[in-house]
Amino acid sequence: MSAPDQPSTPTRVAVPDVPQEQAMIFVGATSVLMVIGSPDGKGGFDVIEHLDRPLPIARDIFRTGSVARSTVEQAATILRDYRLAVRDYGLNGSQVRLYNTNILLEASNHEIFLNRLQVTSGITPRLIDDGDMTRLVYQCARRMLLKDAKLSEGNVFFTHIGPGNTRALHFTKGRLTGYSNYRLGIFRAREAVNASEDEAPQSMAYLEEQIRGVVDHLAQDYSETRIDYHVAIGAEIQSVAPLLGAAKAGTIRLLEDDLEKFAEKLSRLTPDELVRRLHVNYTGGEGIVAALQTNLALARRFGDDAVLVPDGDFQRDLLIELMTVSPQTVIFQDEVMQAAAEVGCKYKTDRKHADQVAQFAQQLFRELQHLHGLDPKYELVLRVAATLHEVGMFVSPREHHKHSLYLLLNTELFGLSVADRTLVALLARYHRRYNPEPGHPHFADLSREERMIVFKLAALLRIADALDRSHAQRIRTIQLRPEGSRLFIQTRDVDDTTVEQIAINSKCDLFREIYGYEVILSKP
Amino acid sequence: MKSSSANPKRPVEAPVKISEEHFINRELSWLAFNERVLEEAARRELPVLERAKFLAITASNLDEFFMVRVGALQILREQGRRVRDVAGLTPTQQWDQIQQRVTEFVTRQYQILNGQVVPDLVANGIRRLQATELTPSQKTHLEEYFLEHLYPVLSPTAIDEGAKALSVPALHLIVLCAVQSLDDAGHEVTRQVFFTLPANLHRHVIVPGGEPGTHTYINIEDLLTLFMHHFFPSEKVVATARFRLSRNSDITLDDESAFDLATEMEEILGARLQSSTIRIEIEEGAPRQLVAMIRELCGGRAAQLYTVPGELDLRSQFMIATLGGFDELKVEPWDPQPTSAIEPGESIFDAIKRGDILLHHPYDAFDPVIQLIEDAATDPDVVAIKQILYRTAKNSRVISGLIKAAEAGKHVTVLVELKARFDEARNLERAEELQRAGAQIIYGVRGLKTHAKICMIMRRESGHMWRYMHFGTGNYNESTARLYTDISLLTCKQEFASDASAFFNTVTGRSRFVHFAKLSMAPFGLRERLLAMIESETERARKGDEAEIMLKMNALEDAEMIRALYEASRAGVKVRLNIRGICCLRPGVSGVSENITVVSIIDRYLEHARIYCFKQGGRPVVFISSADFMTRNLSKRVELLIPIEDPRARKRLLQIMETHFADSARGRMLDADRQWLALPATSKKRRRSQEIFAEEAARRATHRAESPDLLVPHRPKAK
Repeated sequence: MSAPDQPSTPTRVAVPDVPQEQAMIFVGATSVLMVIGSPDGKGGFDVIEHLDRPLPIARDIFRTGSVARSTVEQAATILRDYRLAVRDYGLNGSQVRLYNTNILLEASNHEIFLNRLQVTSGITPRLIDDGDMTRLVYQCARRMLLKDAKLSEGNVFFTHIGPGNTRALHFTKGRLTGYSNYRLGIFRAREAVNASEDEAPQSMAYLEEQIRGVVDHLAQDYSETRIDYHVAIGAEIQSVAPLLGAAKAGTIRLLEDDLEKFAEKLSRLTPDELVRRLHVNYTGGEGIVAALQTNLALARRFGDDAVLVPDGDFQRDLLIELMTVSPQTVIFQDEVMQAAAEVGCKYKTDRKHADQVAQFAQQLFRELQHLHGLDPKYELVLRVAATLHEVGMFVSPREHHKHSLYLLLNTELFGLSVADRTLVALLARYHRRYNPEPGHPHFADLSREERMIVFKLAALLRIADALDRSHAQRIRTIQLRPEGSRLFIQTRDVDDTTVEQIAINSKCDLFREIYGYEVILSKP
Repeated sequence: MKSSSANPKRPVEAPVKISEEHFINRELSWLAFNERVLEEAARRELPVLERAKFLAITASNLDEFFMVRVGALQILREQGRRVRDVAGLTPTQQWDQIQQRVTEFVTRQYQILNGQVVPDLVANGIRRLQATELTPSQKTHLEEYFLEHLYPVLSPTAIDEGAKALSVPALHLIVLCAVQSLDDAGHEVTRQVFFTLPANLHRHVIVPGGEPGTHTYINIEDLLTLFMHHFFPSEKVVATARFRLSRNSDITLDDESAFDLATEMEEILGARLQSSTIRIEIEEGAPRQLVAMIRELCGGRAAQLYTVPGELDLRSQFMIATLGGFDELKVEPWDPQPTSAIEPGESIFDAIKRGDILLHHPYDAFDPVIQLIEDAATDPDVVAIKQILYRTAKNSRVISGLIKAAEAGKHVTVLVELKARFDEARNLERAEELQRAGAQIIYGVRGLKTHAKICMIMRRESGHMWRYMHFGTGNYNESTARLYTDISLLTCKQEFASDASAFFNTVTGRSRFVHFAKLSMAPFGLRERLLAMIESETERARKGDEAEIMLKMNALEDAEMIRALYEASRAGVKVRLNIRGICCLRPGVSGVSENITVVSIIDRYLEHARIYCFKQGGRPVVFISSADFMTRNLSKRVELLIPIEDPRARKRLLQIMETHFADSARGRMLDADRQWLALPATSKKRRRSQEIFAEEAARRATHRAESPDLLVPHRPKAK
């Protein structure tokens, strides 16, 4: 008989039976999902429970601007039921996480909604923001590239059409070469059309009108880019793809003609028929035609005969992705740094200085871990801030830290959430001159913990920047040696470090205040 | 699957259009099934008590058939509906054909009873005495018995002059009598009185004074007639008649029976308050006036009337069949055997972890299934049990186990289906007990009956959650598990576990139906999966590949599935069906179904397993299921279809199928003319499938027991 494929357990050892599973609840655009994952022994998770209950969040928000009361109640009921399912596994609070779609931010009552979720579930809800979403779409794209040698060799254009936003990513030979984000989503488009309440053919036409503007913009952005394959990612397109083609190496190839006919057929079905035919839920069914139309519009605009679609359940994979302990792979960090460098290039920063400061910042962050005690994910935030701290120079060298702040607050940074981007902007703001004060805009909006993070990271950034005060990379390597109440930074690269020491003296009061060390530059 | 020498025929001419004539009416097909059961009662080589049992089964079956199916037909007739069934018959046509067929059936039933079974019983010391045969001392004894036990509980009900209807319960034995007295003027006055014999009275009353080792009894209705005068001290009983009514009342349905209602009939029934008589059985010899009166007062003008040449209600033969002693008149028991997949004393969880376990009940004992639940109740690592209960045994060990588990603080979730007929009260009572113990109880889901057989145990082992499942084709009922043939699969494979979790999340309303990896669930895709499997074989045949389908089920009735099988046959797929009861498919019709054969097995055990095998070019795909190919199962029930992936288990199921198809002893084959004929023997030796399975199970168990250091205790015979 074949061996069962549940996790292999050796004979009983005296290890306490602490649950290893993780539960991830996601309040999405059309439903509330819960996935319980069990460690697969390879750093990932196997899905062992998958629950799904419809909830018309997107419809409410894009129709009325807020989440309806009945929907709030429904969400609370669902969470109560999900808690029963979690109870069977005996998971503790830290093993259950609750995420929300970022379109929730567009609801006027999102605070009330989130509070209600927290009270009902006892779990602090978090938002999957734009940055998280970008990372998740990126990971989905990476997985496909890894599975298919053809794709990893070529120029691949990925589009993800979400409920409120559309993302485009371009890869050449497996590396990210372009990224952009647009305000075009399935439900945004659909609800605009729905208001007109027309018959199927007309509403299809309206939908196309709605979509056209953004599609043109997107096409313009990538007009110079070479594209060998177009991959469409998204919950809706991935749910219908298996009905139109068979998967090969994790990819389903859809002919544009087939997709067109299928979308047209679906547009004529009643919601009931959609549910029965496609096994989608009612609220999910509402978005499916809009999603297919948007994908089709893109495919047509780019003149594709066929689009590729990854095999698998998009949202389920997304939750599993969120579950993995170390969400930032080295490659992903490289991609983020690369994208940040490109932003820096756009604002004509001194690339060499930026790289050098980023390198010092990374070293300081790692070697002073025992002092700052921050989550490793802030290393990337610090590095991006180091790369981009001088973008404000693009506007004017005077008060350039303030220009950096507003430029970064308003620039899309690939792979960073809005919260992370705010941190980056504030670090740039405080890389020189004044120390953070509670009354400063944006800084004032942060929680106490977040302000502390700004202090800790800004102190590191200032040292890193001071070490390349000359912008000439005189110092390239350093060693850190704490001794008593002093931190010695030693370098053999130059004999005279007066310039840098002066910079340190003038900038590193922050470090002393936070960490209690005086920074001394010296020779070993 | 074995490739057979007889190659399927491939169509040459244009296909025949499938029409009504290619279907068999389900009522008539069911009657044919009951006729096959009846023929078991006529089987001379069977011990006489076994034959009595088969007689009783036919009677019990027929009662239910009338209440449900004929009852529904009558409603359609009353409403003047002319909806034709899939075979093109109107309700009235069906009604007429049923009456004709049942009349022949009853004649045959009593031929067997009076001509074969009773003489054999008498020859073996089991004897029903008539009043005239009693000795004076026996009579005295019985009179005492009558006065003590019957007189106080029987109540004579006078029929008022001008009465329009009699209010008597259905399926009870009624004795109607005419009593005479003289009025003041000295004229003879006759009035009618009836007695209802309560169902809780023993039908047979032992008559003392018989030889040792014999059983002599008198029927209670005879006893009543004999001493009826006690009720009428100043009158004279001049005539009696015995009869029994069937009504289309209280139609709730049992899934184990072959009966169900069309949706439109369910609606009608829901709206109906009054039920009407559909069958009157009168024991032969009743005076004509009383017969007329019964017809008149029991609303029986529209009913079917049967004059029965012998005692009414042959369900009483169950009592004879199960008499204590008389072992030589009973069949040699085939004791359920322990499976070799579980070492004695071994943890069931360890055994399942070693590999999937397939059980073929009742040859393989049901104990491992019970053990799974009982062990889970006390195992400290088990955190949760989820279970669907449909019909359970009296004092169910399964429910006791679940209560114990809930009391021990495990998270027990039980879906108790209350729509399972007869067992409702019992289920409800125990469900409340479960709830008090802390279990989460769900009483079915709206609009669908939950018929799937599944149990899941969640057990935490070294931090990992393991889920152990039992999937079955039969109920969690340790009593019927000794009488019904069923398949059980015990597994802990992860994908099956995830599907099982998803299944429970769906039926408990925690989640909408999400895609399953391995299983299929009705009404969300089970039918489609089966159709896809059939069509896949059809495609292979069209391409010229060898294609074959073997299906085993209780009933084949769904028109869509039948059409798919016809398509398969036409494409050249070899289709072999093993169907116990209803079969609306007509095999062997040229251009339609010439590659289809239908075999039915009626034997000691009730064939109950559902096994579906598809050749798939030599890599067979085999399923077990809780669902028949009936519209109700595929569209109106929550059912499960479970693929069997373990190669040994799959091979075993294929062998089980082949053994059934080669059953020359108990197998009957349906021909194109709707006749069931004995299955021709493929070898000189007569092969009887159930016997073969019992022998194999015993051999496997003996093989184990033969270990030199393992003693084999003699155990008392299982009851």
